Amino acid sequence: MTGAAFDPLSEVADEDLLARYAAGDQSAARALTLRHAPRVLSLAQRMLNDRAEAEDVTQEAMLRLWKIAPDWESGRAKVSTWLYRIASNLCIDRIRAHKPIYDAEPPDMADESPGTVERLVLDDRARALHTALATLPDRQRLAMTLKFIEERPNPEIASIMDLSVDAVESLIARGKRALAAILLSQRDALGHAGG
Amino acid sequence: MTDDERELSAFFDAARRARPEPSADLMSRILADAAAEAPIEHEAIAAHPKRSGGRWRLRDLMRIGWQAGASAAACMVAGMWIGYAGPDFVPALSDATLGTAYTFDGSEALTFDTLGTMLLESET
Repeated sequence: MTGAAFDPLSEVADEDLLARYAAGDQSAARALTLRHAPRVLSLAQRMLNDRAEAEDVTQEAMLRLWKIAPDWESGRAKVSTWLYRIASNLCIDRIRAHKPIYDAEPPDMADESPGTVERLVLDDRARALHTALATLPDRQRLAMTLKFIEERPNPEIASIMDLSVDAVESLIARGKRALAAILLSQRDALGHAGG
Repeated sequence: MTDDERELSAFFDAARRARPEPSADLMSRILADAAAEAPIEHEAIAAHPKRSGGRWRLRDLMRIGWQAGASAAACMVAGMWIGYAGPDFVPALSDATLGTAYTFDGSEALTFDTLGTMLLESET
């Protein structure tokens, strides 16, 4: 399921969609779901390494969005930032409650099919990164995922994680060093990373 | 960007391509939650009986309430008149309305028996 193809309200801002939902427009809920559920699921899957748990977190985060919709204060926060923060906290809570077993299984590939060989290389790299991320401390993994996979800017990551921008930059710098130490030692086995 | 960073970014590119897609079941569950939590729907459900009840009470009052209201008003006027005219007026009033006059000097206790006797005699 690809979100953009089914999102008739793709040009409408998140806050406006939330206001429409609060006014009873279910199509706004659908548009918000198509827009944000994949991102929340992606983050949760990276953090928890468990599809079922990641789906539970996604559903719970979206449920909290529906609940807060009538009381949403315009300009308080971006909806995406708010959702990432809720999802991050839910993930950290679950990790602390019971440390998941990392099986190094990457998420299913989205339907963006390159050629077979290229796809195999990409799968290997994605799997290797997935495994390497799993070795990082929780908050470092969260910062790295938000920065390099969800592509959020540092100030937004700081807001999501309730940290200063300096602290985020520090987490990311350490995360990059840790990942480089793991991944670049495997460059021959994984094919030339730049190609 | 250093060579190492370029190589790392290739891993991140691959990971972004491997973004998990929500299943149809998950999307259905989320949208079911959205429908269940729909604020207007809840408010409408909560408000509808109030509006309906209000209209019903008004209709009731308009249809049958005037009888009770008129009785209550008559009792209130009679009570005020008795209070103003004093107990001496009561035998004359009972004689006029019930066909017999009663006096009550307070020497006999007002019990259910005496009240019953008064009512029975008033019917004969």
